[in-house]
Amino acid sequence: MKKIVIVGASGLVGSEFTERFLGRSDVEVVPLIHSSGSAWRLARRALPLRQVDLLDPAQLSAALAGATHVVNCSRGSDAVMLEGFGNLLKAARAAGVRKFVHLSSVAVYGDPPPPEARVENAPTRPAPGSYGATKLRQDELLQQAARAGLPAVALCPPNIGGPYAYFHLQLADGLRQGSLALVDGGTNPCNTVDVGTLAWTMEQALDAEVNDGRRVFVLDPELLSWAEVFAALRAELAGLKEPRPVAADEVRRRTAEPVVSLASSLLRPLSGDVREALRRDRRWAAVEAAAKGLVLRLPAGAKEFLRERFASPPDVPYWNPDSRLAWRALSQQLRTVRHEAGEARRLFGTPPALTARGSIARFAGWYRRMIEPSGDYALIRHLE
Amino acid sequence: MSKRPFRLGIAGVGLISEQSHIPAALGLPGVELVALIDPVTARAAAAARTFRIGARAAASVADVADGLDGLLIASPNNTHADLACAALERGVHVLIEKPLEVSVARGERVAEAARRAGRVAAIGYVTRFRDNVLLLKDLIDGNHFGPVIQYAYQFGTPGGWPSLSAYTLDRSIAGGGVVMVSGTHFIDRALYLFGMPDSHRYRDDSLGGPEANACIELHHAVGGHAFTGHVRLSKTVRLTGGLVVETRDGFLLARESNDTPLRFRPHQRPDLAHDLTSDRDFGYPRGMGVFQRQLLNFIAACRGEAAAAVPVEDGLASLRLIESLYRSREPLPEDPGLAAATTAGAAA
Repeated sequence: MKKIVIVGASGLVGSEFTERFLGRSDVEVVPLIHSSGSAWRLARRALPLRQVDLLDPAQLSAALAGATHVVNCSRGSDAVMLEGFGNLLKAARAAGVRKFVHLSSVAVYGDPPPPEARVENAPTRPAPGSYGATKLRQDELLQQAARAGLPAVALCPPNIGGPYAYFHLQLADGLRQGSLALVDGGTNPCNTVDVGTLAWTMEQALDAEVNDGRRVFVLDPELLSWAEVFAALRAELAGLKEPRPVAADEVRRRTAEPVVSLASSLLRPLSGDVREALRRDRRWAAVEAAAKGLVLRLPAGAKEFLRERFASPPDVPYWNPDSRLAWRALSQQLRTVRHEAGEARRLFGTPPALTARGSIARFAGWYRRMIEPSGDYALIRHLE
Repeated sequence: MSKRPFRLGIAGVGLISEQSHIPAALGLPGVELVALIDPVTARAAAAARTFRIGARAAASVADVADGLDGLLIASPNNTHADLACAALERGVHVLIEKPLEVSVARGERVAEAARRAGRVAAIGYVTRFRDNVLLLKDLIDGNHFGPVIQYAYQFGTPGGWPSLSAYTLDRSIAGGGVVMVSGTHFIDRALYLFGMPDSHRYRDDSLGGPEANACIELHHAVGGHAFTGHVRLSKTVRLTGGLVVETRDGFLLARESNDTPLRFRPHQRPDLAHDLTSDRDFGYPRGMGVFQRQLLNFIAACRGEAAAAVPVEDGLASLRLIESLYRSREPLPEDPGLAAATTAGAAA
C-alpha cells in the first residue's frame, strides 16, 4: 500500500490532491500543514492534520517515517522554499521514498517567458530575487537529489484554475470591479490547468517511469485566449463588466521597472524630508536662509525667470479612465508563448476530458454556490 | 484624588494578546500590566521583553492572583472556565475572550463562581464596542427607520487567524468550527440587536471535523412582529463581511469593520447612501480603539462605576444558541461539481 506524505496539504493543490484519496483503501495519506490558518477545507473532514516546520529536520524525518511517496505543494519564505526544501529532500532520501513529486512553476522561465518555452527544456531566465528564481533553485536542488538517487519529477503548472482557485477568483473580481482590460484584443494564449487535472496528473506521476527530476508542463487540453477566458467567465457569472481594450505598449509602459540612474539617486537625498531634517542643523539653516535672502534681493524679472524655470507647475486634476486598471495583472496578457503538454501525455497519459472552458464552468458553479449573494443572501448586495 | 492604577494580568500569551490585548492595556492610562500568564512561561517572558515591560511571567493564575485587580483571559476556549474560576475564587475580576467556554455547562461554572465571589465576569465580544454597532442598536431600539423586516449577514475568510497552537481546528478545544471560532461574534451581536430567536434552522459542512461553512436562519418575533435573519459563515472563501438590516424605510448597512460608519439607503432611492454618525459618544472616548473601549468598560465595571457591556449572562446566551444550532444541525449539500472532479480519473 502507498503511504503518501503531502507537504503543504492545506493549499489549493494540496487540498485537492488530498481529497482525491478520501475513501480509497489502497492509499494512506499523511497531510502535513505549516499553520492552521488555511487548513479548514481539510479539517472539516476530520483528517489527522500534522503541523510540521520544514526548517526543523527532526520534525520532518519523523513525519516522513514509512513514507513510500512524497508530494511537495508547499510555499513560504525563501528560507522555507530553499533551506526547508533541502531538508525535505534529505528526509525523503533518508526515508527511501519511491517517488518525490514536486510542484514547480512556469515562473522559472521568466516574465515574459521566451518563445522557446513552448517546451520544457527552454532556457530559464527568471529575474534575480523573483519567485521564479526561487522555484528554479528548487528545481535544481530536485535534480541534484535525483542524480544522487531520489526518484523525482517536477510538475510545472501555469495559472491554476477551478473551484477555490485564486486565479479565477482574481479574474472574476477584476471583471466585476472593472479593473481588467483586454490587451491587444486578448488574442494571446491564457495558459491554464484545472486544479482537478493537476491533481490527477500528480497521482499518475507517483508511478510514472520518470525519475530524473525533470520538469513537465501540466496544462488544460484546448487552451483558450484571454478574450475567450473573459467571455466564458462573463457568460457564466452575472454582473461581470465587459473589459475594455488596452494596447500592449501601454501595459509595457505602465509596468516597466523605473530606471534608476546615479544622478537620480544622488538627487533623492534632497527631498523635502531630508531638507527638513538638515534645517535642524544651524549651519545648514544659515546657508539656506542666506540663499533665500539672495533670491529675494534679485530683480523681479530674474525672480520670475527662476520661478518659471524651476518651480513645479500647478496641479491639474487630469481624469484618467485607466486609473482603476490592475496593470500588473494585465501584464500576464503580454505573454505570447503557448506551453505544450506533449511530454505530460507521453509520461502520464491523457487526463480526464476537462477543458479550460469546463474548468471555468466548474469554478463558476462553485462561485455561484459559495460566494454570490443571491437567494437568502441577496440583501448583501447592498454592501457592495 | 487620582485613582490607584488598575493591576491587570493577561492569561494566554498568543496572537490575540500580542496583537491586541497587550498593546491596548499598555496604551490606556491608569492600567498597569503586572503579569503575563502562560503555561509556556518563556513565551510570557519573551512578550514582556518585546514590549519592554516589567510584567511578571508566570505559569498559573495562583502564582500572581494576589497582585491582580483583574485578569484578561485569552487562552484556548476550553481553558477559560478553569482559569476564570481560579481567578474569581481569589477575588480577581475576569474579562474572558469570546466565546465564554466550549459548552453551556462549563460557562455556567464561571457565572456561578462570579456570583459567589461578587466579582465581575465580562466576555470579550469586542465588536460590540464598534461605533457602527452602538449606533445601529440605538436606531433599531428607537424604531428610527421603522420596524425590522429582515436581515442578512455574512463573513468569510479563506483561513485567517492561524492560532499559535492550532487549537481552532480541534473541535474538543474550540467547542466547534466556524460558528464557534469567528461566527460567535455575530451570534452575540444578533442577540444584542434582535434578541433571542424563537426558532432557527442550521446547516453546516462538517464531515466529522470542525465545520468550515455554515448557513443559519434565525426567526425572531418581537412584540408580535416577526422577521428572519440569514447568516452565512465561511473559513474557506472570502465573503464581503457585513450586516444588512432591511427596515420599513430602507436598508441599514454595517460593514464588518471597526471604523466604517453605518450607512443607510432609503427604499425610495437605494442609489443614495447616507453615512450615519451621531454626536452621542455612547460612553466611550471618540477615536479610541475597540480593544481599549472594552478594557475601559471592564475596569469601570470592576470599580462599580458602570455595568459590564457584555456580562457573563450574555456569554451564556450565545453558548445556549450555538448549542441549540449544533443540536439541530442539517448537512449542507456537498458541491456535486467538486465531488465529480475529486473522483475524476481515479480509476485511470
